[in-house]
Amino acid sequence: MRDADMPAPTQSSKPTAPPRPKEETARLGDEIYERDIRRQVEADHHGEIVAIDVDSGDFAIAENVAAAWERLVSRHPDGGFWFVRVGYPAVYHLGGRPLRRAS
Amino acid sequence: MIEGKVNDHYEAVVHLPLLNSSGQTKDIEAVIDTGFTRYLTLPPAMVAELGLGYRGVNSVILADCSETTLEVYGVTVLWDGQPREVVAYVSDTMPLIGMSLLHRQSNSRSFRYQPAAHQVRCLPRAQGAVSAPGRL
Repeated sequence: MRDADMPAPTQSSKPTAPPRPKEETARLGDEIYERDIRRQVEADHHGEIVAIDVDSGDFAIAENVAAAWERLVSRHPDGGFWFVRVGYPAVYHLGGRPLRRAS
Repeated sequence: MIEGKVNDHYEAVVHLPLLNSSGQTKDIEAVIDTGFTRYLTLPPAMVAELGLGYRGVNSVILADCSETTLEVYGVTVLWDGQPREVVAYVSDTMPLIGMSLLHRQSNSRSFRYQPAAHQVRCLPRAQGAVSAPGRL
C-alpha cells in the first residue's frame, strides 16, 4: 500500500548516505531556489513542494515531498534533494513534544 | 490489531517492524506521539543499520517554533502486517510514530487505552473508540 505522501520503495538502488552535510545541501538549495526558481513558481504553485537537485539546479514540483522526490529522481537517480514548500519558511510543521535521547 | 504498552516515561510504545535494504524485517520500539504530524522519526544509527534510501533534506518547524534542517529517508514499515512505504526524518531520539502514519492507515486508526493493564491497542476502525486520556 502506498499513501499519497509516500516515497518509492526503499529497496531501490538509491544512495544510503548523504553526499554532503545537510547544512551544505540547505545552503546550496536555498541559493538556487532564491536565484532561479522562486519567481517561476510563487504565483501558481503556492503550498506545493519543490525538490531541487543542488548539483545541477534541476527541480520538480509536486504536492508533497515523496511525489516531488519521485519526479526528480527519474532524472537524477543519484540525487539527494533539497525540498522547499513554496511560500513557506519550512516544508512541514512537525509538532511533537520535547524528546529524550535514544537510550 | 497493534498492541503496545505505556512505559515508565508515560509514553505509548509499540513494536514496529521495518524492512531493511535486503527486505529483512527488524523490530523496533517506537513511541506514538500524537503531537507529531508526519510519519516517523528514526535515530541515525538505525537508519545506517537498515541501509535506508536517502531522499534529501528539508527544513521543518518544531513544536517550540524553532526551525531546523532534517535529513529524509524512505522506509517500509509493516503496519498491522501490511507493508507501507513512508518518509522518515532522522532525529537522534527514540523512534517516533506520527499521526500521518495513523491517519492514513486504512483499517485501524482507532485506539483503546486500558489503564489497568497500561496497554494501548490500535483497533480496526469499526471496533475502535478514541478514549485514551493524556497523550493518546
